[in-house]
Amino acid sequence: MAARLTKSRTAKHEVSERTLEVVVAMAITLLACSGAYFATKQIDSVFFVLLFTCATFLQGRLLNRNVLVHVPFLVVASLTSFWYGLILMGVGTLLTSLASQKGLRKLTAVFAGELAAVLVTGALISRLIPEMWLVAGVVFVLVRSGVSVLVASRTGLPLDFATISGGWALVAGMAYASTATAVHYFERAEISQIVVVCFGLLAIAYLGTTYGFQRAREDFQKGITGLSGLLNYSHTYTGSHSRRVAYLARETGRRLGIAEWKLDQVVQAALLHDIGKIAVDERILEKPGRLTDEEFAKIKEHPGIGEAIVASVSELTGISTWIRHHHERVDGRGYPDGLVGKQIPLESRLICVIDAYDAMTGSTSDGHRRLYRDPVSSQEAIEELVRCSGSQFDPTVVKKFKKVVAETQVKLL
Amino acid sequence: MIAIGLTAAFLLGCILLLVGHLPRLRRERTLSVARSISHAVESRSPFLRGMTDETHDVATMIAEELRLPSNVRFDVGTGAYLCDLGLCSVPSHILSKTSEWTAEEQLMFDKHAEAGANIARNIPAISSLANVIQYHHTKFESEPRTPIASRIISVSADYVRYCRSYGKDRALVVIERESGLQYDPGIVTALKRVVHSLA
Repeated sequence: MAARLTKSRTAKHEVSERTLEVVVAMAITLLACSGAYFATKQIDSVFFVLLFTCATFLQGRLLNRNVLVHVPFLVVASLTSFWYGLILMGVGTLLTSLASQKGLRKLTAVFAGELAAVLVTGALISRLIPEMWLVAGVVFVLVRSGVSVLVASRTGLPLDFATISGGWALVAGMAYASTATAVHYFERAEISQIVVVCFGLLAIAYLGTTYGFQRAREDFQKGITGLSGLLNYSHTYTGSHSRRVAYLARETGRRLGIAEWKLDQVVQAALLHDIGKIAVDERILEKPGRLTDEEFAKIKEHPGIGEAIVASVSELTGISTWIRHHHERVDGRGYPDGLVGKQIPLESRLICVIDAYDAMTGSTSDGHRRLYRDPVSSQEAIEELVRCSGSQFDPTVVKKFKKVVAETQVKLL
Repeated sequence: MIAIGLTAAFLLGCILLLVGHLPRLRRERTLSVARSISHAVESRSPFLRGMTDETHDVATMIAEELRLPSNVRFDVGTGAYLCDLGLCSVPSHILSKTSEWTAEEQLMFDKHAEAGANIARNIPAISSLANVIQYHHTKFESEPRTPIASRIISVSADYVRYCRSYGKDRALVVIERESGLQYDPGIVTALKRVVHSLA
């Protein structure tokens, strides 16, 4: 047992990496700011460059890109004017979001909402009633959420994404609206300048909050992976099984038309589907021969136990039913509830197919019985899945899964 | 200039709020993951069922009674859920055994704190709690410098266990007898205050 408890990547290493990144970012900011000052001799440009650096840095972290990617933009921004900087900021945002296909739609959704909100609020303040920044703040929040929800629903993002930083939108809205008022009141600045200042601030607050949420989400994912890894310590069960199943689940889920935001949950369910086995006596799971009815009844308990374990995390209550039903068969002869066909959640049918495939191809992957059976080739496993589709497996899922496996193998070659 | 000053102030305010909000969010998430881990481990034996939730409650009450800072209170709360993490590498038929353990089985059980700490070190969300887990059965007498969270968890876990086997009054007597030897006397006093305030 002790041999399995080897350390993977130590926390210390991660910390020093982060510190280095922060130091590099601060150095770049300092360089860019001083460059801007000497090039233009204007404090405005320094202020802008500061905004720009912070925003790009946070964005780099958000998309898990190295901060060094942004150096070229920063150099140009520091040597040219305010407006060039703004254009560059747009380009930078576009490029970094293009670099990560996943984030593009989200970024578009939120930036569209925020841009519209800034324009409307800015126009309102400067043209009508400069002192009423409270009203302007409310208008800001309404416009922002409205446009974000609209864009989100058009692009198939979940609606809660648009409102995820709801409380923050209010704070930010008040801050920007009052800043705009202040700028207008004290300096009689042009509306374009107010909009620019608002936009910069907005970008920072948005990226900052999203970055925070992203970090929290990542931590949570790691916790889930750790939870699924607990099985390693009690049974003959390899960690790579969970990872393979998780990868295949995401790809197949995408093919089945499961929404992008839901795929994260599918992956969590795939990682945790067998967690209930932790309660089953390992002597039963590792028994080489045939199981008695009594022993088999014990094994049949694991989906229910898994459901109970997972349901105790409020964020995971949604996936607990998928875990409960991952041993159901479409012909109704599965366990624990004997559901038929479409009564079984799609996600459970998906996990069931992938679990079976991985158990057939990866000899030690599944703790019980199959352990001592020789692994078969991927081709043979697929044939077996096709043979049982309609009785044990959902034919649609098997069809899509076949394509995914074929493609994955092409990639590996 | 005034405008720049104001915007800078808002910027600072936003960042401060962000910095204040995020640790709380992460702590809540970590706590719920810890709770599910504890339920997974508990499911391995009928004797463990419901134990960690009670331990958590007692431990957090002691931490509040001692007026510990919030980061230590978090360690206590999460650590109470995670302290028996290592039991997942003890075979479940040993955990569910009703008769006395053999010396070999006892040895296996005694390793669970160390094993749990090793597991926790591999899970980034809870790696900071590895020390708390490692020392949660360490004698106060032999190692008085263990993390305070470990000492609190040690007292509350044993109290909950004794409550099940001997009943409330007797459990407190047993704990008191070991005060200064197995347990930190300050924490035993705090436990007494907590128990009396509940009665």
